[in-house]
Amino acid sequence: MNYLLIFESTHHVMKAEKLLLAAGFRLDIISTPKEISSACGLSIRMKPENTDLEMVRLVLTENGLTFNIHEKK
Amino acid sequence: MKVYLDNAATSWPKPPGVVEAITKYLNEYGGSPGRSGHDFAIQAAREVFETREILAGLYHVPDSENVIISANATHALNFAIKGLLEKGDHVIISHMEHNSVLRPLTYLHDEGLVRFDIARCDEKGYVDLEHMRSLILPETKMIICIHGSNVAGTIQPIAKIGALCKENGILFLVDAAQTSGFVPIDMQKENIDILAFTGHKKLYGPPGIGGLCMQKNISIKTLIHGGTGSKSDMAHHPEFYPDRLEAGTINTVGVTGLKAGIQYIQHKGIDSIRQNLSELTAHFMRELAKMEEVTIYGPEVHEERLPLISVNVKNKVPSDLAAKLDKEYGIMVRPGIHCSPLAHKSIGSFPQGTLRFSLGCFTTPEEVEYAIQSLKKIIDHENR
Ligand SMILES: Cc1ncc(COP(=O)(O)O)c(C=O)c1O
Repeated sequence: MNYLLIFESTHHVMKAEKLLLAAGFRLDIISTPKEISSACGLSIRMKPENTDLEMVRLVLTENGLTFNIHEKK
Repeated sequence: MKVYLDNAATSWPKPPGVVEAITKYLNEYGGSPGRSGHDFAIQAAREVFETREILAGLYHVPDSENVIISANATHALNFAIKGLLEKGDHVIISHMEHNSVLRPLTYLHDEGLVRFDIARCDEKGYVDLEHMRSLILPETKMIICIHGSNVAGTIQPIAKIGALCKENGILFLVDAAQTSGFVPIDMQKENIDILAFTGHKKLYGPPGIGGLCMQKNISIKTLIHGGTGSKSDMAHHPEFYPDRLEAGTINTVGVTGLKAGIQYIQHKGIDSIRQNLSELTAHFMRELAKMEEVTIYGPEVHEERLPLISVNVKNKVPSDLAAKLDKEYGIMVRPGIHCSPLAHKSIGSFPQGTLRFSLGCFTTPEEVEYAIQSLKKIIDHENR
């Protein structure tokens, strides 16, 4: 299982990537799976074992980003 | 000897880093930003994102998503003018505007949609602020002003115009095509709502890249609808920036070059570039002023100006002089109207235009000296 962070625009994905990397998180960017969303072509994938979701939410909302988090097998 | 003194049209040469960045993109990771999730597309998207962040820092834009990439200042100005103005709106511009402002407004006027008035400028090109104020009507939606004149080199007091706009609840659109990268711009302090820039002049990027920066609350209707890589299953074009104003694949080649160009001037220091170029321009002006036949337009030598000098030579047509300089001396300059008939009317050089020498950060004192001597020779030779 992975967490998938879905944003409105590519710009937000890039901004989120920069913020999360700066906060020490590990992530990668993938094409958003069609069954999850068609909002933006890209999304951020994070592994649950090294991701504190509450911290992720805090970092992103503090910087004015809106997003959805999905769990993908 | 080849001497390029047409940097106000487009700067040349470009910093080596610009050529490297462009080559690297094309050779190593030429993907389409925001369209796919593979490595090259993501690298390209990062490059675009970082460029927006750098531009946001350069002009003090509150959020880098409000930095829109366009083909040039002309497209950016058209987006702002045609995307914001509505039927019945009134607009005020200065008498120094470029055709990239005058023509879209004239078009909207001829379509019966907007009216506009032109604030007087003095013979040096400075806008008459009191006249501008007196033109404000209840329907005045926007004031548009050129920051630096491509014709006379005049730098307008945009903070004062910004204050006038704020006081009267009017949008302020600034054409910073000539000043971006040369004069520091702070959209917050100077109350600029929307700023149009071009990448190929004093930001030292390649031609074909420019953009629009705006404050948070500006709602510009798009003129172009199409693919954005977002909300791809919807028939409706997305409303959020930057996608809203960026339908179609953007010029990533231009973006990578622009980023490297800005990094170059930031590394050199915008203030130190301006100081060097201003000294060289002042020297050039003082030497030209010694030639009796030469009339120099625009601000005086002790006043702040762009690194360009527009002149006329008694009994000579600018285009003949430019042709002589080019063919006989290898000096490339621009003669004529410079896309700004209004400006020439303000400074008194309409309809013949001017002969314009414009410097860039790679112009050397030797090149300036050569241009001075060459012009002198042409004048002396023809007076004999
Ligand atoms: C003052 C001014 N505004 C706008 C423009 C248009 O810039 P561009 O040709 O890059 O669209 C120019 C230069 O050509 C200019 O000098």
